[in-house]
This record gives sequence, structure tokens and C-alpha cells, in this order.
Amino acid sequence: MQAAFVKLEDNRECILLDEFQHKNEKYTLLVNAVDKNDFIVRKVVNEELVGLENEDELKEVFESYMKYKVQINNS
Amino acid sequence: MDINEQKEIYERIKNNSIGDEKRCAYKKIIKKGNFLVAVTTLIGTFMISTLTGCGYKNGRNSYDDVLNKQSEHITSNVEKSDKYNGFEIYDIYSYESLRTAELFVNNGFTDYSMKEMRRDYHYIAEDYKKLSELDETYLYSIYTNSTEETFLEVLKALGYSDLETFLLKNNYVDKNGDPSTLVWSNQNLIQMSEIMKQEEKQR
Repeated sequence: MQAAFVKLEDNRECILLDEFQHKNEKYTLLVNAVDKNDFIVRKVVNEELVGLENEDELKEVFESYMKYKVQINNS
Repeated sequence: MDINEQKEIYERIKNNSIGDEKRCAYKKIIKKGNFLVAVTTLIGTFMISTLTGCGYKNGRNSYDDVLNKQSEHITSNVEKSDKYNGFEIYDIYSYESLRTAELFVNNGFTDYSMKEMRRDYHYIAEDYKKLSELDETYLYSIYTNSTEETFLEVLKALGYSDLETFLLKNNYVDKNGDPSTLVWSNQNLIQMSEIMKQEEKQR
């Protein structure tokens, strides 16, 4: 299988685990390719990955992502 | 993983993920490699460690709440279960989502866009028929992770005209004999957990 990697601003090489949308914004979930406990969430803005505004946004995005993952909307 | 390790991971996520100074080009580098198992484990770890153990469950709509709702939803017409063959529900969903994604990617089905957090693949039933490994094993995951249009095209490729026909033919019916996605969902969890158990034995 082909894996997509992304290099962060500090040169950490990360595996792209997932892409998802929340409130019309696109986000990515990444993990450090070397340190498997090093997770990163970033927003996609103009072909850049940028940090989130604050912890509230992070929690909101998590919540949205988890709802997506457990398929709460399934009926 | 104990609570201190979970907290440590969450702090790292915060440090990694917040702040305008964190900015890099979104340029994907494609590498070949068998990373599915690693990714499955990682997403499982991510979900458990960051959301259940790091205070997130104190939020307005906690992850536990979501799981409880999902569990009630799934089992309202069938026998209630929190675990399937020893596997948590969210581990099973992670596993099957990734296996499904792998099925598509491995067969060159990479053209998709996101619609309301679901994958909308740009293919038709005739295309899916060429997908040799396509069977009903991962159909539930396609149903939940893809758009309705994608799901219906896959369903057609498998010889079903619509969801109701599929449910009835496979006897996914409720007490009244009506087609039920809830019954299908529960059967899917059982089936997936059995596959996961087999794979675990083989490792």
C-alpha cells in the first residue's frame, strides 16, 4: 500500500492518517513517522497545513472527527 | 496505557496542533510500504488516549456519550453488547474503515472528494465490478463512510438494486420482518470482530 507522508515545518516526517471536514474546513490527522505517540492535527488552508486557533477548536474538531468515525449519523 | 501516558500524548497533540506559527506546505510524499497495521493501531491509540483519557469526556458531548448513543443505536433491536469478541466498537470501526480504504487504494480507486465528511468516489458500478476483491465483507463500512451515491454504485456492482433489497436478501430484518440497518450493523460488528480475532491469532 502506498502511504502519504508530509514534512512539517520542523522537518518531522509524518504519516497522513486521515483527512476530514468540519464546518467547511478541511483538517488532517498526522502521526510522526518515527515517534508513534506524536499525533498532529492541522487545518488545510491554501495548500498549507496550519495550526488550530486554540484548544476549543481542537476539542471541537476532535468531537466532530470522532462522531464521523463512530458513524453516529448512520441510520 | 496509564493516565499519565495519555495526558502526555494529549499535551503533545496540543503543542503540535495549536498556533498560527505552525505552518508548512501540504505536499504529500508518496512512499510504498505496508503500513496498514501500524495505522490501524495508531488510530486506535489516538482515539483511546486522547479522547477517553484526557479530560475530553468532560466536554458537552463526550466521546463516551457518542459511543453510548451509538451502542444504543446499534443494539436497540438486537442483543446489547459493549464488546465483540473482546474488541471495542470503535476499534472495530477503525479497523474496517482502514481495510476498506486499503481495498480502494490498492485497486487504484483513489479519485474521490469529501462530501459532508464522507468519501464520494468518482466511479460507477461498472468500475467497481473490476474490483476483484470486492465482496460484501466491507460493504457496511462503505455504507457508513461513503456518500449514498458511492454506496449505491457499489451495491449495484454486487448485484443489488437498492439497500432494501440487499437487507432483505441477507435477512437483515427486525422483529417485524422489516429490513433493518441496525440488525445489519450488529451482524457487521460480529463479523468484523471475528476477522480481527483470526488476524490476531495469525500474528
